[in-house]
Amino acid sequence: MRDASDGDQIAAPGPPDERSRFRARATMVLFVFVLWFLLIVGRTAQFMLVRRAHEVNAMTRESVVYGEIPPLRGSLLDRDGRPLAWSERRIRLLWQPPTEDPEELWHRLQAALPWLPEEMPAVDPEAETPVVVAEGLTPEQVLAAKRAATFGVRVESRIERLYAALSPAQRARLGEVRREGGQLVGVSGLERDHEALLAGQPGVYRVVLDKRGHWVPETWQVIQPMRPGYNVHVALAGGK
Amino acid sequence: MPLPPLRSLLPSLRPNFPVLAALGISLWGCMIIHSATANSVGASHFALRQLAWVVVGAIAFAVARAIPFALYRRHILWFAGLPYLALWLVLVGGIRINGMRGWFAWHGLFCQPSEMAKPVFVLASVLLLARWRERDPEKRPGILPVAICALGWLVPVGLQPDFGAILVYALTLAVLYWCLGGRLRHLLLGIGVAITGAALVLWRYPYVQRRFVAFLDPEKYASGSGWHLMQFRRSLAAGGWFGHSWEMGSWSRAYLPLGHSDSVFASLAEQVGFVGLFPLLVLILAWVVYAHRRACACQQAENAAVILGLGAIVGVQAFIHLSVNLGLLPPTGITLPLVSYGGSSLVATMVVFGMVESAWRDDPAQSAPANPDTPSS
Repeated sequence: MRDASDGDQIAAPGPPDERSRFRARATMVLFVFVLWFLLIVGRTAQFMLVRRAHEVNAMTRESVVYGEIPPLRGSLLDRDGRPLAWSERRIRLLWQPPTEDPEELWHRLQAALPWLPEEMPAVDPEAETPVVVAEGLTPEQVLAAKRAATFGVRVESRIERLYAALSPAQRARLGEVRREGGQLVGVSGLERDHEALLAGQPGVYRVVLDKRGHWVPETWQVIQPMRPGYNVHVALAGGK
Repeated sequence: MPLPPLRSLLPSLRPNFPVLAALGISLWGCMIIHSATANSVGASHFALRQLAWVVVGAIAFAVARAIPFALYRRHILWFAGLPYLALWLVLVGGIRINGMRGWFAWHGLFCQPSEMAKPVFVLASVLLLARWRERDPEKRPGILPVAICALGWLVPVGLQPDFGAILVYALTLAVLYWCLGGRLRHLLLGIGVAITGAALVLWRYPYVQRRFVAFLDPEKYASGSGWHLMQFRRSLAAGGWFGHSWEMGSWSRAYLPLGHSDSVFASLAEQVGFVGLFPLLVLILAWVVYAHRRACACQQAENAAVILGLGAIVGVQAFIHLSVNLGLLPPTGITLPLVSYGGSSLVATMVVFGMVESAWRDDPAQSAPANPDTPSS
């Protein structure tokens, strides 16, 4: 059959039985797709709804870790309330970039923490020790850093014990602390004598680890807040 | 036949639901890709590139739709020949990603010929099968044209090797052959050949064998080749009824490989939950139903077969992707059309939509009388 408008030869329309056969077979194909669709919906519901608890339990076992939030040790104060020994949390930012696009990662970090130098610090790729790039960060700055460069930075948080300027005898009377499992423990002098009041109660956090063992930042949550130690007034002259 | 005037390249202002839905899904896909890659270096990089491809895809749809169907038929050698040639050229000039030499790369732009060739594969197969059956007294296509199509198109794809694309092409060819009147025994013969081919692949490629064994029992191989399958399950389970809030899909971002491309369904499931997923599944089936209805309403046999074939090729690819993510099929690198990251797949899918509209518009059924069985003069 020719179409006079464009001169092309067009395939003749199929006879009715051919069209009927086509439609019947096309409907069979559609039926197969519908069955496939139902199978997909059923399987989706199976994993997302029916087996959800089982899978989530397995995920929790494998990837959720609990950790201790070390308590802030209480201060030793003299009778006038002047601090003789006190604790401060020091947060350090460590730089250990990935091998892919470290410069771009550094620029993102530098945009989040503008006081960082524009030039990326040199890191020996063979060395395992990361480079300290900032100290004394606030929690907000840590969060900004982790959001900007999750894979390139590590946060190290330590509680440091600081002492007022004292004579050697007074300093010895105050005593020393030792770090045990991330917590400061008094081992001599007044630090040891008042350990029960100064120590405080550690908290508990929960976080999900990714496949590399890194924290997934948005999953970090406090399960039990830490209770800081009590401040103790002692009979020792001195001060800052 | 003269080229269409430039103004006809502009899409009609009349609302076209499938295209509007396709554009909407594509834009949603950009958001999903952004969420899935938010923690990677260069956040928004993939999403912005995909957005650019959405624009290209919209233009490709308009052009494909504007081309008269008779022009496709008349110049089939050009329309199909160039993509077909690219399938062979990529084997020598393409780059290898994840063990598959299937992309051309040029200054950061990637093109995957096996995706771009899908619309013209359907067109070429239909024309070959339909014209071959004219010789048959019962008007049935023979085994020979099917073998020509299968060998001609599947061999270069298999040499990449892209087993996912082979599956899509093969199933679509089976649908076309069946609907055009093919014999059941030939179809069964084809299934036998496919099973033999699959066995050969399992024997030839040990990594495929490991994937298949892990597919049969993922929990047993959870720390090895079944690991990816387990992450599919867990990302799905993490979604529950309503999913996480936006950008809180932590499990898929932390554990699921390729959450923006081959695993996008599982990634999406964690974010939007079962309630958010269900409309997408319905839309995919709706596309197949739409193609079926259009095809059954056509007067011209070739138009009908092309529409059905194009509907099937997108539906088959989508359902295979979903099946892989759900552990119903062994893992294979197949993207979810319009949603997964990948410009070639997106543009090819939009070309499919355009060709469907072209075939439907140019079918006499558009101006036929109410009774579709009345022969046209």
